[in-house]
Amino acid sequence: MTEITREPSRFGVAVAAGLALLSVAATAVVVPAGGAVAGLGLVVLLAGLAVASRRLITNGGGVLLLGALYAGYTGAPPLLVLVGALTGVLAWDAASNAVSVGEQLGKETDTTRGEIVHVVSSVLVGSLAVAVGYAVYLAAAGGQPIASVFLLVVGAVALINALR
Amino acid sequence: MSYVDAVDTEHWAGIGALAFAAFALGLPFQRPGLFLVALVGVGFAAYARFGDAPAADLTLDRELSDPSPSPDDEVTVTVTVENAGSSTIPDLRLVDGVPPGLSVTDGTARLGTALRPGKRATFSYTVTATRGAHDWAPLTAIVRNASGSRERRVEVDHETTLRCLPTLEASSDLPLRGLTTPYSGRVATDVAGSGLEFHSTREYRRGDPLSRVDWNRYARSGELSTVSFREERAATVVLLIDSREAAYRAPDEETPNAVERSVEAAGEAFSALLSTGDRVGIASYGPEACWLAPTTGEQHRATARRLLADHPAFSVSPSEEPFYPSIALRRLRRRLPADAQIVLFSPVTDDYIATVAERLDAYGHQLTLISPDPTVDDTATHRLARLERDTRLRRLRSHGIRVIDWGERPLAVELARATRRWSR
Repeated sequence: MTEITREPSRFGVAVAAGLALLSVAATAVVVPAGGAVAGLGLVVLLAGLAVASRRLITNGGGVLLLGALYAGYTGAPPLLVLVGALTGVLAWDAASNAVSVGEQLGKETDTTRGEIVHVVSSVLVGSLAVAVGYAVYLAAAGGQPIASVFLLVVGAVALINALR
Repeated sequence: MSYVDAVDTEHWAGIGALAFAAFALGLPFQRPGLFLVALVGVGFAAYARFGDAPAADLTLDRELSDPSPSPDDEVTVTVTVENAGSSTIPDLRLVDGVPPGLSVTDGTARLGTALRPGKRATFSYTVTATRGAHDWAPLTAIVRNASGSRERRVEVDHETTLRCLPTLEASSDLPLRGLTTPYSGRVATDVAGSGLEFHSTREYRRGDPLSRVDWNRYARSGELSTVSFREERAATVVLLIDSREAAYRAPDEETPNAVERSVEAAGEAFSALLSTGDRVGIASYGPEACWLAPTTGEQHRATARRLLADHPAFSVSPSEEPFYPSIALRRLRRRLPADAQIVLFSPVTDDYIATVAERLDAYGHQLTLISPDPTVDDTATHRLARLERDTRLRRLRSHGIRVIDWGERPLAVELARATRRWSR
């Protein structure tokens, strides 16, 4: 009998590792110290994938984003910080999804189609959020950038509360 | 098809913390980059709240390459799932309900995919057929929304049954004991009469057939005498299969358990006995009662074949029903014809079945025990179990019960060995 190996699929691991690497790179380009923190996050994330643990993956994703936040705090260019944070979130999402797919369906099963749809829709949503935010930031660059972005965030929070 | 409410998967748990941390860090230090990161967090939090898991309306079609295969045949199962609803299912995870008695030998009975309305997803896997009727359990579909924050479990039913009948090949003759019916057959008895094997001579009586007169003796001494042979008669045999929970023992996961082997051996014995003209019946000693009265004929053979294949008493996993041993034994004794021999198939894994064998033998139903050996000698406890079983078999032998300890080798080999040992 073929046993079910309850581990994340190869595709999910590859996507998550790729996105996490991109996040580390984006952070490291501007702030090497932030890159080092993000690199630690990458290692923890990969360890989480290896032992199929959601908790480790969440911790790894958190550390990865901590690197991006540190880069933002030092005043790095907003676009790179955004890319670092976005790819970090996407890596965490892909890894976590891969683990849940592995738990329910196993490593041997063909799950590529479902995982691609999940990753692509996450990428689209994240890109949309980045595009809107960055567009507002650029449009308001002449006047009061901080205030406009601040108001945008507050507006978005109000909107999702209304959605519920 | 059954629906349950969608549940939170906690897939996006913690994304709000990112938004909050970025915002809290950005506010005092006036960093636009951090505000934008907070916006990413808020965006994903909104995405996670957006939309519930779709109420999947799935239709299932399951096809077997051969619905009634022979044992050990490979059967390809093709499962097709169609999204009959009107909404796209972005994350669909399918787990087919493979019957517990079958094992998947190639591929997996699972699939992860996404399905637009009206589209189909197909996957296939191979199972190895084993004896019995196997019903598929409903297919479990796990449906998630696009963000993966909500999840719903749906069960889709499609009646599929794989019916695998044993072939009932008679591989060898089963040596029987002396208890017989008045009908002629092949068991040599101690009754003097016509037959093949020499029994005795006696004085000629009027009416004795001329062919049995000892003409040589008449030529020598002038006295007429008649030669008698062992009369050959048919026997009534009940094949009794021990299907108690204690009999479901196997040396490891891959090897068939003792009940499986017993049923297989009973099939062989049944066929062999039927073709030599004996009356054969089948009974189970376990939670599920099974009784097929001994008789002869082709129809009887077909009935037995179906019975051994899919009677719940002989299923590949133990029955959940409670078992009352003494009631079962009393009922069995009531049903047994007085002249019936018993061939008991049991691994003899506990003392109780040994006492049952002794009692049945003592009641006059001469008993032969065919005992598939499920023991191994890898650990101390397993070795102890093996020793205990050996002791039980030795005790049964000392009570005059014929015992065949059936190990790894084919039953025919063990039977041939045992027959040589048993002098009548």
